[in-house]
Amino acid sequence: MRIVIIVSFLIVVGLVFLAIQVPTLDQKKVDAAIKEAVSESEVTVEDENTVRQAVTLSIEKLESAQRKRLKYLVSAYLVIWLVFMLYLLRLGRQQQALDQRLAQLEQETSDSQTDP
Amino acid sequence: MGKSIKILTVATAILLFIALYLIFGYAQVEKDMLEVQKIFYLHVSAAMTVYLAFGVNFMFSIKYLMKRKSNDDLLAISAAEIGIVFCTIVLLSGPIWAKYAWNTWWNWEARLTSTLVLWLMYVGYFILRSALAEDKRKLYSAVLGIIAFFNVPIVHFATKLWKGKHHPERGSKFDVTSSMQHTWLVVLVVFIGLFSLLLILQYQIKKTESRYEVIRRKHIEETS
Repeated sequence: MRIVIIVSFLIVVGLVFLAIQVPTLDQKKVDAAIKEAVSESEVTVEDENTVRQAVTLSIEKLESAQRKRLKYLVSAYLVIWLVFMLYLLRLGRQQQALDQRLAQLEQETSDSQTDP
Repeated sequence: MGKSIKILTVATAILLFIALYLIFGYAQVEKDMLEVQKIFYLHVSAAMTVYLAFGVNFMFSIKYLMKRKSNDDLLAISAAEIGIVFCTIVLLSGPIWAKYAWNTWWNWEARLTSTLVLWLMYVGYFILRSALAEDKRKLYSAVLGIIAFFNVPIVHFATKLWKGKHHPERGSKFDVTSSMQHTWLVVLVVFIGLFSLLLILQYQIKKTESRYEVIRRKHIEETS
């Protein structure tokens, strides 16, 4: 039972870790891409900084929306995992309590048999 | 642990890993809900398993009324208990989806309300069991198990019966592609495997408990 809980916990933590790794774009790469696009563009770009700001803002917005979606996804998976684990723990405790009661009964019957 | 249970455990575990890979690595990302749509695989599979669990409860409740065998009663309550677990999963994962899709955690839409009623009915089933004397417990809970099951088709057809405007019907709100369908089927098989395993475990515990009670009573009678 413990192994199941530990392994599944590691899987869930792994999933959470993977899910929160939103691929953030490196600013240098963004700048390089903007320069390349501007140089290839047929339209003359007056202010490259304005373009850079607009692109950066768009990327931030998209990443923030993705982060929000991943939060919902991870929360749902965590809740489902938690319900299963709580139920497994309950089953484990039920089994443990039953084993104890059986051992006690065994003891009582063996005592009554040995008593004259 | 029996050989067949071991095989079932291993097969379910392997399928669980495959299912996780399919959800995150194979299934297409839906174009409207994007990543949040991946809740669907577990949410819908859990809902289907709820139908199965309460169906098993219904079947063994009828069998108990016909043959009055304690084992049928034990199987019926084991299935109902696991059904509540899966129903709890449905009721908890649904609002997370709802919050993103409809910007509200809950609304009193037909499918949601009928699922909550279903959950409450089976919680009531256990309250009834704990409140009754032993001679009446099995009989009355079997009757309630049969009555409660009639809510399952109501839950399933709720969106059609009451034209719920929010809850997605099959193929209505988002396009289910073949990769999504394959993934969902594998997750459903995993959930059925989990249900079967939990049912066997719970049944064995309940059976041992019932045997223990019989032996304990005999022992008390002998000693007194």
